[in-house]
Amino acid sequence: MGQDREDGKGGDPDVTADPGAPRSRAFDQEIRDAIRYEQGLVVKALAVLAVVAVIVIVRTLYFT
Amino acid sequence: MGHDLIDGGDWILVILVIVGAFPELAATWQFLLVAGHFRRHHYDACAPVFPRTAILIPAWNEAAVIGPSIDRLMGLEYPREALRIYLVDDASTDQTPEVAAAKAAQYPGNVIHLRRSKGGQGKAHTLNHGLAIILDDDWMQALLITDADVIFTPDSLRKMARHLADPQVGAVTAYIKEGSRPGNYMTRFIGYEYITAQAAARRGQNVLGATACLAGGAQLHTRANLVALGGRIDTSSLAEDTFTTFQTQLLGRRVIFEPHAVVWAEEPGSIGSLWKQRLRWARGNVQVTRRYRKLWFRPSRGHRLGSVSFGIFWFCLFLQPVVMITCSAALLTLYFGNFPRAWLAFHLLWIINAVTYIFITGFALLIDPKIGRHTWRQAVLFPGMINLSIIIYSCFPRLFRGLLRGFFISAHLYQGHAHRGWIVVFIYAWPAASMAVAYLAKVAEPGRLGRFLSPLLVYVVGYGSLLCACTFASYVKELRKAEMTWDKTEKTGKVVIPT
Repeated sequence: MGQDREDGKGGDPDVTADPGAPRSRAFDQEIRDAIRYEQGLVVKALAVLAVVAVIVIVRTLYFT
Repeated sequence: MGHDLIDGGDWILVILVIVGAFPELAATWQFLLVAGHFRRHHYDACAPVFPRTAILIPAWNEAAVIGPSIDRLMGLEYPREALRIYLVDDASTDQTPEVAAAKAAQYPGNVIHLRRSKGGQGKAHTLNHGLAIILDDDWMQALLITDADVIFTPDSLRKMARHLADPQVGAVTAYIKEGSRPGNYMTRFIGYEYITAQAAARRGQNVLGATACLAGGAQLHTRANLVALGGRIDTSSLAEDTFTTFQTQLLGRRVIFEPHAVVWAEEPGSIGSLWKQRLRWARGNVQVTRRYRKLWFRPSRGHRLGSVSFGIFWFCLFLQPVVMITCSAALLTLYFGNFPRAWLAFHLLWIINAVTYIFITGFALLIDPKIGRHTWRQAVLFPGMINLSIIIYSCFPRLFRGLLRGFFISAHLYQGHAHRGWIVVFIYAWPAASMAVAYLAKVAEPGRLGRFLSPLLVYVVGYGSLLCACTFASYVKELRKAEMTWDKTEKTGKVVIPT
């Protein structure tokens, strides 16, 4: 029995998500924001790779 | 024929030199995987769930930090009736019991103070004391293990818990940021390191489907996972977090890193305290490597810990001191045996290092721009001033020669090719020697001069070399079967959450 006596041995201790439960707009927005941030990391990675490529080209053309 | 053999031997040495770049190449591969996180993430399986969560905090002499930490936890965006904090006081000798009792009175039913009369056995024992009591009760659906000094941002637990809607998930970890403000050079190095080791590396591990370690200060487990783990944390090693992480995945459950759940922690502010902490972690990694020796590079259907990529990531970090020493030894052997080839190998090694350094540093600073703004100087100087000079020189030898015309370096180095000289021997020996100098910085720190000299030495040799020296020390300790002592990192409550 829990300290607040709200639960007993017959309770369900598993974590379950009710598939029928409505997902709030705020929750969906938060998930979209997270995915958008991850997508932004692709752009950042490409930008840094481009900088590396420019340095390699400059080095090859002018410093060999 | 004899000449061919000598020639073949030289090429083996060249390969051993190039192997010196493997840790950087592996890190680059891990950073490239970060870019795949937008596709291979776990957000599709998330749902707004709020399992009844027990928060387990082991505490030994944490009076300075535990009060504000509990207040922060009670202020989480989480139903208060679904939160209980179990503070396991490991026989503290300071005001921790009084602070805990005051918080239990302030939050009746939400804060439970447990006290061990005999402490000092280590974090895992303290956790198990609380875990046994928590599991004895059906109330708990999820367990958050944290540290007394860790400050959770209001949405962090909610964002971690949403992954538990997927029954395949056994545990979720958060992004721990270094939060000491104003902090010092060391906390800034650690702040940057955590971008690379957590925000980047753990995203990469999410993509790979194999996680190396749940952060000790923020790991959320399902009850089912804890029961499957035997209801207790491994006490046979110094890396209980890593063992828990591996066991969770070996039992077929997923471990997820949630980069948008942010928690702040106070990390070591001196070489001495960093050394204690990292020696413990590194020794733990030696123990993990040994314990799971049959797992590496053996792909399995049940988990991804045996994948080739994960094995490369693990061993490139684990063996980095060996790689650095081997690299130096091969370069010096070539220097005396086949000097032109030594120069070729050296040049290739540092060109690779230069490219990976620019990519990793630039991308890391962009992954977490806020921390990046706070730590960019340490990011740039992460490899150390000498390594940075070698990187610049390797890429732009003519420019370097022009800048330093008349100085000693131009007398010995590149004039179309390298010339023999003591400076070349020094540069070739540097990958290995840098670890010895890093150790010197640690030894010198407590002395009168050390206060000024040691930070300077860390900037000269690089934070990476300091960590490598620590890893090397862990090999020695484990080979000597040194006693496993729990050297607690002192916390003073300097964490300030940036607004």
